[in-house]
Amino acid sequence: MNSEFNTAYENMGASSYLRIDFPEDTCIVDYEVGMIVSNDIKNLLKASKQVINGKTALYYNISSKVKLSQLIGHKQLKRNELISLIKGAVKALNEAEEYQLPKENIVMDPELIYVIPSSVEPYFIYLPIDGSGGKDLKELILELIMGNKIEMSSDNFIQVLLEALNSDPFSEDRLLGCINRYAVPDKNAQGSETHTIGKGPEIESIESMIPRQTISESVKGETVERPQKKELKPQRELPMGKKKKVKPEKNRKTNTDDKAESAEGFDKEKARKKFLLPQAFIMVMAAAMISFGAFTDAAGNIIINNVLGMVFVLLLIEVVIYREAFVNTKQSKSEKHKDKGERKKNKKDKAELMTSQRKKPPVPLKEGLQTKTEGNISTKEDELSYHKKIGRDTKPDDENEHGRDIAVRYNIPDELLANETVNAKNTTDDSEITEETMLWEGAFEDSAYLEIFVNGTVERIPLDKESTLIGRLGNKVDYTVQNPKIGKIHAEFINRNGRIYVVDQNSKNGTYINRSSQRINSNTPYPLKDKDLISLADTEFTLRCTDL
Amino acid sequence: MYVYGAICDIGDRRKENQDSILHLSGKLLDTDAGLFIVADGMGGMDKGAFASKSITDWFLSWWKEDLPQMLGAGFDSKDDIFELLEQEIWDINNFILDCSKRQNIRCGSTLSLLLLLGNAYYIENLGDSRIYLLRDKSISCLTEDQSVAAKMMREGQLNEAEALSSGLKNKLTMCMGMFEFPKSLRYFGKVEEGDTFIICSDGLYGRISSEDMALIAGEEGELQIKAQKLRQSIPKGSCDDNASVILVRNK
Repeated sequence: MNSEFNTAYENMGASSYLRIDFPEDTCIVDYEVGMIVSNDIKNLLKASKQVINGKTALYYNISSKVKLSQLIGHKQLKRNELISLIKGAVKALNEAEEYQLPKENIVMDPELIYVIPSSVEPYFIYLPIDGSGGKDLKELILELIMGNKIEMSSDNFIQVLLEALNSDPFSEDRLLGCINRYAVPDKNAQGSETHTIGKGPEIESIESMIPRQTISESVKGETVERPQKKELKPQRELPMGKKKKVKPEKNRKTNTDDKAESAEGFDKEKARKKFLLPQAFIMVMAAAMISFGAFTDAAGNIIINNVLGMVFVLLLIEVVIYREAFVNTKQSKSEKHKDKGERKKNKKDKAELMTSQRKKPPVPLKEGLQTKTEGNISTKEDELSYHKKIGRDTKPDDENEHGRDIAVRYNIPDELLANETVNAKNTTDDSEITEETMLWEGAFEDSAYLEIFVNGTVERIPLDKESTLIGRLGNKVDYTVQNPKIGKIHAEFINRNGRIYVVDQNSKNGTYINRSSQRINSNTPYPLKDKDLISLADTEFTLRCTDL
Repeated sequence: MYVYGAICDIGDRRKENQDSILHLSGKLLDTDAGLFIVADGMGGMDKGAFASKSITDWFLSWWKEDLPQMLGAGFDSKDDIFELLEQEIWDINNFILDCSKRQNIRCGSTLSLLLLLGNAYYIENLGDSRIYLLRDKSISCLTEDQSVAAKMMREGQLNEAEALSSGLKNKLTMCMGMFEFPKSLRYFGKVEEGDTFIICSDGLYGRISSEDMALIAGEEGELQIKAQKLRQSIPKGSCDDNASVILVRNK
């Protein structure tokens, strides 16, 4: 940043600000000032403007944030912290572009980058002046690497990062794509109804971590009218969550063990106390008896019998206490659990027995179909929309964009897919042996497909190909739905090793999952599960597939 | 039946023509139909031309493939037509935005679109190109400019003369290719016999009064000649912007 600008820190109430004073001859771009003052631009510090005696000052809100230079002065950045920094930077650059703000005006100087300490999510200063110049993102990251500010790791993360930085031409999105696969998954991430892979998660992580700011949809300038469509807000996606630092400490091992054991019901510490306390009592009693002459006769000679008797009694008591404290407690706890389990099992068996003996109700139709039947109070669109299968343009793969590797296009890393855990859906209701009439699956039994219910019939769209396009324009998609509200190429369904994903193709009227009021992000694969409802604009499909 | 005349002129001072026009007339499912577009590109060099040409190219395909398919499927209501138009605007906007991002450039275009189907007209307008209607020798501007000056005028902060001479008249508040959500203004009406539509960029209407436009456009004769006459009515040397005009008449 130009060193001729004065900077100062000010506190106003509970908020902290970095003030930048611009000399009178500085060419300040009013439009850009307006943008950063009026809008909450992601990962840019919100600014407010003051003009005093003809001089302009901008106040950047840095509450709850620390300088990046300060952070890396104390320690090296961990991998996830660096990834968070890069993601935030790319986000800021992309957002700036949306607002017609030149990227080069975003200050990439660690002295002027402010981060949330826990996550190292960055917030940048935007200087609304002509020709501010300065470091770019690539130079920032290289500086961090060369300055040994990044924790080294045993894998090739740094090499991959350097290759991405040195690629010509340099692309922030490509950089992001390269590093995403190296993100350490957050073990605290909760599964939600919809998940994203690729670009999705960072949106949620950024939003969840912005302190005290209202997350609202950005308005591009005061003069733009918002369209009457559903808001393009990211959904609850795989949240990064607050990273809990797990620090295994050796001196806490015993407690950990105790805690582990207490999960089974036997507390060693308690048992030890239970054993030791009576020992103390016994010793006191023994000392008292000796001092009162219980083991000596009048002449002061030791009465062997008394001593032996005492020892015998003591031994007995010790054994009893020990058994009580350590052995019986353990046994009784485990027996309790066993009994509990057995009782539950017995209950279940009983219930099942009773159920089987009762007359079985009719097996309901599959949920998706039933829903459709109930929804058959058809709207105008339902009546009008019909569909037919039309093949795609028969272009050779190398010319056809959709012949490209889906995983590469949407940055679905193999290891992430392999590690995905999905609650095994119990579809045994379908496999129950029953004499009731059931729907014949036919050729779709083991394949994934979409169901669409129109005019009293259910039509199925197979999803056995790696990519299936659905839209309005027949010669561009695999499946046509003639509904003006559906885009020409509206959505893509990806089948990757049996997992189905939906990708909205930047449609006007959006794609929704399970009737959510928020549309999914465009160009981002969302994993789906059996019986999910996917709406393309106002046309609803039901996914049938085997949950993996 | 719709007849038309069209001019897309570089002007007297510009080195490149960033305007693009589209004029299509014929029958769709046995109904008289026409599609007319003036797009005034911006962004300098060939960027503006890229943006405006993208609009006309995409709508050409739309006219040939998308519209007939949907009309044939029975989607011919007013809402359906506007939905189809706005879907196309959405897609084109994304295309220009995407291309701009990839090439690290900024470009955009206005859009003045007139679709005639049977005896109805559908207008989609973004930016400050205009569509006028000359009916019974009376001219009216059907569209509203999406510019800062026009906004201030509507809010009463500027009068018309001030707005015309203000530097803010060239500051657009909406256009194609520069905003994530293109917000077009739509207009609908019935076409009467003898109606003449004038679609033009600011390079033309900024140099000629609406009264003069009405006089020239209202004369009998070939519309192509009238379009040329409108262009020539701007004094030589003073047409400092690209000037485009399409005249459409319901005969």
